[in-house]
Amino acid sequence: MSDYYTLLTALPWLADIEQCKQLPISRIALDKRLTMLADEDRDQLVMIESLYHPNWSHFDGQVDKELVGVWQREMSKIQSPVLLELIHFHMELRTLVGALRTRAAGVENPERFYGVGRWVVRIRKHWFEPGFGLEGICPQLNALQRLMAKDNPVLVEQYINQQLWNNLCQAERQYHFSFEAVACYVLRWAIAERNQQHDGEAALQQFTASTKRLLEQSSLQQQLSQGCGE
Amino acid sequence: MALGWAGLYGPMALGAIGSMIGCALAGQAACGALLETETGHGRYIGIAAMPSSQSIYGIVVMFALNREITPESAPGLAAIGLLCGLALLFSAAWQGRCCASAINVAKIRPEIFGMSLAPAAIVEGFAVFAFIFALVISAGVPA
Repeated sequence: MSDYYTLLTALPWLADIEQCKQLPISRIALDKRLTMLADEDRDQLVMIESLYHPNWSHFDGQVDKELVGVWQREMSKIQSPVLLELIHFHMELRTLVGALRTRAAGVENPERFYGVGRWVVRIRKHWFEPGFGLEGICPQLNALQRLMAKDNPVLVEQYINQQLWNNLCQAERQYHFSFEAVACYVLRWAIAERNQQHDGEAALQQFTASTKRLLEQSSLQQQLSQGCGE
Repeated sequence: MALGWAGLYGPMALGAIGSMIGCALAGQAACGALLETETGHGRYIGIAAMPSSQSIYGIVVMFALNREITPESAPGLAAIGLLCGLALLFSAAWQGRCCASAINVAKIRPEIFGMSLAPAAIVEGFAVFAFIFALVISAGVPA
């Protein structure tokens, strides 16, 4: 793995996730810059991105057990221990959310739960305890439980994104000008993009609803209705 | 005797190797910054050239040490020349990294351009120590 002085200084600054209202670089421009990566690193980055930000439609029809198996096989191909640790962190958070949701859905047999990371065995063992016996071990547990109790998935997603963002920023600062820093930047970019897509979809829904309401109230609509009636 | 010759040419050669590494690292960062910014290109290139000073120090030390190589002068020349050269090599290489970081942050926040150069200037200070004291000590090497 090489150092990437030119590439990293050629990437624009990504502000904090809450302040990042507009992406500073498009995916096309980012991909163009990423051509500076060595072939091996580019392959690794593709693999890392597919593990960190998976396209769930590719896994349609697969049961959790198979999915975990695929995941573990793919993880073994990642060469950088730093990036492997970052992916693990992400998966452990998702596993925790998955466990909380599975239990809330009424699943009583913990053996039916599958996940990735250090906590899976502990979660199964302490399935009926409120915090799966992870209190004091997992600092994110309390916040996730509190947010899930509000029954608002958007808040949970925002919290997870913030945790991932902080984790990636920390690693990026630690591994200046290395492949790890490039990968962290790309993963952060994808989080920011996903965040904005959610905002965009919400805005589009609101826009469509407002337009519909206004059209229904407009005189033109009334005239058209009257015309049809006559 | 061979070590004497190595000590004589060492500061110059090792300083130049360090400058090559340092300028290359900072230069790569400057090239990236050129791609990303619209203005201030000159200063990025200027920072990238900072590690070249170690080569100049090496040349001056080499001239200060330049004398007839004899069994009496060779050990002194070897010790001063090689150690000074190593100090210049490492300072230039690490200064290059400092310069690359300075370019990276100055690109994001141009107002901290001056402050971002402080680490590179401190590293330069250590290179100057090695250079000055090599000159002072070289006077004691038998001619």
